[in-house]
Amino acid sequence: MVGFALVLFWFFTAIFADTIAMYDPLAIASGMKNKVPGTPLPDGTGYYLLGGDGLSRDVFSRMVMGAREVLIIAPAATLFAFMVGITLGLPAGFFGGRLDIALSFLANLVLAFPVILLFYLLVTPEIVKTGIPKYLAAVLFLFPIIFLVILFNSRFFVQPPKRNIYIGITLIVGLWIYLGLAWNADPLGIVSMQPNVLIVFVSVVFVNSPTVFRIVRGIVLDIKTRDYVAAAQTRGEGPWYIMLWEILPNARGPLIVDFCLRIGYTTILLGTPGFFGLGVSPDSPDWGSTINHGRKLLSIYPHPALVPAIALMSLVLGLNLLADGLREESLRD
Amino acid sequence: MGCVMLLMVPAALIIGVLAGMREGSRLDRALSTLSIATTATPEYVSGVIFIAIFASSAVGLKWFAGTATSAMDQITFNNFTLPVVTIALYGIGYIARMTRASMAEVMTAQYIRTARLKGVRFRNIVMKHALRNALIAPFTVIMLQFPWLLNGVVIVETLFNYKGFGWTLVEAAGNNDIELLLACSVVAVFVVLITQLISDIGYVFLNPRIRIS
Repeated sequence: MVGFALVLFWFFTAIFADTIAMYDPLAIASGMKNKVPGTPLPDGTGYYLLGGDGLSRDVFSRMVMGAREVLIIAPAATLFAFMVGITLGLPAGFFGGRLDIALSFLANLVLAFPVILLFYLLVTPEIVKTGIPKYLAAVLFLFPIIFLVILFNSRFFVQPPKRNIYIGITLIVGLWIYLGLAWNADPLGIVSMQPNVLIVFVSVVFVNSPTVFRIVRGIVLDIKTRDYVAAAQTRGEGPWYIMLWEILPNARGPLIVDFCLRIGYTTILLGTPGFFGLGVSPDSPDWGSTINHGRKLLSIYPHPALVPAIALMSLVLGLNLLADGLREESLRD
Repeated sequence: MGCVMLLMVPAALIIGVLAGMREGSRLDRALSTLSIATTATPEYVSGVIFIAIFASSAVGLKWFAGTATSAMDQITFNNFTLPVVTIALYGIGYIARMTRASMAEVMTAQYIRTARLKGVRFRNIVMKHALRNALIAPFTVIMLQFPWLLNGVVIVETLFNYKGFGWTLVEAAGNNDIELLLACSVVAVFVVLITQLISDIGYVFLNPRIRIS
C-alpha cells in the first residue's frame, strides 16, 4: 500500500507538473543563486520553496518537471524491453533446439558486459558517429510492431477481414511511430525524439531485454508442459497462437511483478548517464543530471542535489514495495 | 573492491540470517524494509546523501572526508569509509534479501523441525543446522554481484575523485579515447567471466547434490 501510494504520488506529480511547478524550470531569477529553501524572491512575487540551485533556478520546479521526464522515459523503455524480451523469449523457450542456443548465447553475451560499460560504449561521440546506436534503435523498435502483428495474426487467422483491419491499423500506426522514433523521418513531423535521448533510451532497452528474455524463456519452459498447451496442440492451433494466447496470459503474474521492479531499475539506469553528464541535454531537469550539477557544490550547498536524490529514491522505493505487494497478491491464489 | 566485499558480505549475511530465522517477526519486517530501501537507492543517490550528512561543511557532521583523492597514497579510515559504505550499501540489500529467502525456506525444512523436537537450542539450530544449508544460494548471488560492483565502482570513483579503474573509464569516454575504452571493456568482461566461472565451480563444492554430467 505504501508503495502504491508513493508511485501514485509521483505519477500524479508528473501528470499535473505544469500546475504544480511554480516557475519555469529553466528560468533564472537574479539574486537567488544557491539560496536556502524558503527564500522569497527579491521582487516579492513568491518563494523558492526548496531553494535555488547553482544557476539560480528553482529547485522545486525542476524536481517536479524532472518527475515528468523520468516517468515518461522509464516505463516506455521498460515496455520496449519487455516487447523485445517476450518476442524472442517465447520461441526460444517453446521451440528450443538451435534457436534457443543461438538466442541464449546472444543474451549471455550482452549480460557479460557491466551495464555502465555498455552505456559508455554506446554514448561516446565517436561510436555515435559510426551509427551503431541508430541501427540498434532501428532493430529494437521493430520488435513491438512484429509482436503486435503476430499477436493479431495468430488470434484472428480464421477471420481474415477482421485480421486485415487489425493488422492494417497496427502497421500504419506502428510504422509511422517507428519512422518518427528510430529514423526521425516522420512524414507528418509529429513523432520525433531528440537524438541524444534516443541513444540513452536505446541503451536502456538493449541492456534490459536480455534479462527479460531469460525470465520469459524460463517461464515458457515451465508452462509448455501444462495440459492446456497439450489441449491446444491437439485442437490444431499454430505454435504462435499457443505461445501468445495460451502461454503468455498464464505467465502474466511474474511478468507484471518484474515489470514493476524493472521500471524502478530503469529509473536508476536512466539517472546514471545523467549523473555522468552523458546523453541527455545539459539543461534538462531530469533527476540524474540535476544531481550531477548539484554535487559540485555539495559540501557547501547540499539542497540542490539532495532534493532530486530523495525524489529518485522514494520513487524507486515505491516501485519496489509495489512489486513486493503484487508478488504477495499473486502468490495468494 | 576488496574492502567493499569485506564489509558487504558479512553484513548482508548477518542481516539476511537474522531476518530469515523467524519469518514474519517484527525484526524480519524491519530488516526486510531496510534492505528494500537500500536496494532502491542507487550509488549516486546514497553517495550524495552521505556526503551531505557526514562531510558537508555547511550542515553536515564533518566526520569523514568528502573526497577519496588522498586515499590514492594512503588509505585511512577518514577518507575511505564513505566510498566503501556507498558501494557496499547497494549490494547489502540485495544479498540480504536472497539470504533471507533461502534461510526462511531452510527453516521450514523437516530436519529443522526434528532438531527442534529433539530439544536443541534455537541458537544452535540456526548456527549449526540451518546456516550451512542456507548459504548455498547466496553464494551464487554474491559472485554475480561483481558486474554490479564494477558499475558502482565507476560511479563512486567519479563522485569521490578516486583515480582508479572507473575513473580511467570515465576519462577515456570523456576524451573520446575509443582504444582505452575498449581495453577497459576487455578487462571488465574478463573479470566478470572469471567470477562466473568461480561461482559455477564453487557451487558444486558447496552443494554435493549437484553432479557435473
